[in-house]
Amino acid sequence: MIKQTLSDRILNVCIVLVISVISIVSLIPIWNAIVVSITPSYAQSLSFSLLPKAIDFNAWKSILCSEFMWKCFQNTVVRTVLGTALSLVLTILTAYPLSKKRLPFGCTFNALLTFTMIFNGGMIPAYILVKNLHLIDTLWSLLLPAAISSYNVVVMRSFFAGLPDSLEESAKLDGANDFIILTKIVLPLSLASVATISLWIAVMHWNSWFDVVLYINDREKYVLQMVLKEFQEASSIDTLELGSTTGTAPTTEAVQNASTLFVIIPILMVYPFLQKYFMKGVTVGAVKG
Amino acid sequence: MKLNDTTAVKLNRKKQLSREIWQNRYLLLMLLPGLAYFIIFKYIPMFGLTMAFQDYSLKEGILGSQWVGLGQFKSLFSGADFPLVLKNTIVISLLKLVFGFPTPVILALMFNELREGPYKKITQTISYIPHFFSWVVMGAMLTSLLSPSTGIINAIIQMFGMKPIYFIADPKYFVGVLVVSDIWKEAGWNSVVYIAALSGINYEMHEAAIIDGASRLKRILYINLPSILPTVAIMLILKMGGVLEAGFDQIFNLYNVAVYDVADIIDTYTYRMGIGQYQYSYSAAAGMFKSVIGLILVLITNGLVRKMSDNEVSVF
Repeated sequence: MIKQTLSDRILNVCIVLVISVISIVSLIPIWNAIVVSITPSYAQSLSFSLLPKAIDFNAWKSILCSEFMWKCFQNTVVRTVLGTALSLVLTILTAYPLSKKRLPFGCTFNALLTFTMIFNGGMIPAYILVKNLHLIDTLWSLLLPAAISSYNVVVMRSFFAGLPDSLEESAKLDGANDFIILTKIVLPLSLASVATISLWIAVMHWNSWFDVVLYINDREKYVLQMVLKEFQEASSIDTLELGSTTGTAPTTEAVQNASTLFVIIPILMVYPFLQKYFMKGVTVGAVKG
Repeated sequence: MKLNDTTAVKLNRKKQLSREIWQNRYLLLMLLPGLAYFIIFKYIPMFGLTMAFQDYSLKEGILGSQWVGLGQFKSLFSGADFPLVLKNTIVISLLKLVFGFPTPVILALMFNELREGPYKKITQTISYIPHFFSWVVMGAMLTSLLSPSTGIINAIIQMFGMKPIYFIADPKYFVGVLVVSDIWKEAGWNSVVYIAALSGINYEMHEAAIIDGASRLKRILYINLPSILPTVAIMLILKMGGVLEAGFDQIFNLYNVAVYDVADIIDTYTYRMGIGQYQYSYSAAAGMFKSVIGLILVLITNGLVRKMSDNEVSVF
């Protein structure tokens, strides 16, 4: 082992220091949200503090007791589960044939796919299409337009293309068709990639809000992100009927921050466990598909 | 004789094609739902862009609406709004490029120097987390953080005896907020590509340099940095292709009337004109302008990347 020189050590300390500072600074917004969400109105004044001066959970109580919040939570879960299932099936069904060289007109289909990654009709024609299909204010408007991401298809396609051809040849000799080969042989070998893609899709659905802005007018069908967005305007918080369940009314800021945390807690809970799946395939996009 | 031969070949080819289709019928069947999706939800909206050349009305549809040629584009560029919006889009996205692009490279170089272990794992994990939050969440957190009455940042500013700043509603600071918050959200995630590239460096180079007495800093600057430079160049060129993407989600969740002059970009303008004011054709023209310029930029940058990497890397 080579002895480190003094300058190397100083550099090392500097790097650790800088990274520590960056990490702490990037956690401050989350910490700030926690502190504000449990600070009662009388203790909320402008002074620098990283710890709450007093604690009360009225903001949390009013959120957790709100029927509207739970309705939206349910909408978000339904949309995420159904959306992920639908997207996953469609992505696999699209990516698998496209990965096969023997697919008739394969080049044409792949070119059609690639073109959607570099050109799109944009917001207005998409909105008019959904309107003309009479999907406004239905769950379908949140599931169908986002059903397949071209990028995910490319990632999945390059994974399938990397599997050896010999896998299917023996099955073919035994008379298996492509559906059976895909479900019985290829998919069991692709579980890690499938997990990665489903995680990406699930996070995408959980975080989606703009399609709700465009296509959903009925508040009963809102998702959590949309509620959060509405709460940025203080007046809309009144709909929670603050104080009716808790006695003293929490501040607007406390409710806003509590609901922010309410939305990200599920992601924070699964993230550390599934991190390796999140990361997988990040670099795949840079490889020629 | 020759004529007969070619027709025979043609017939043969036709036969072969139909046999191929029959043999791969299950593959084609699998592709059917995806194909339907792409036609309906991707290609029909592309053809829907023809409304940019019309005076579109919902009642008449594409087929019945009146054609106006390039009229919508003319009014786009002769009006006062769109040139400003276009300028904002380019300014914001270039500022993000200048400040946001080097950060992940530096971050990756620093992460690479850390010893494997829990400290590296935890700090790296923290740097990725914001990537998985939506801009609605980020917007809510930023609003609270930067609030002039209760935010921590303004508390610190006041500790130094200065007046609180209303960052989100002050045109002087708003673009800065956009640039910094974009770095906070994506720098960690974007560093992953470079960390992967760094892990591919042959350690022998470092060993040789150590024997020659090179310090750590020198090795970072003269071995690590040059080794990932091709990756950096490719990422930079790819970023240039998206120069009209100034970040709709971010701006939509942070901006307000007070900062429209500096923060309104093509996408937000399209939204307000189209969805808010029902000027479908006018806003479709704005969107189409962005899509077409974007397409041209992507094609150019992809060509550049392909040339630079000797056909090794390209997006398509």
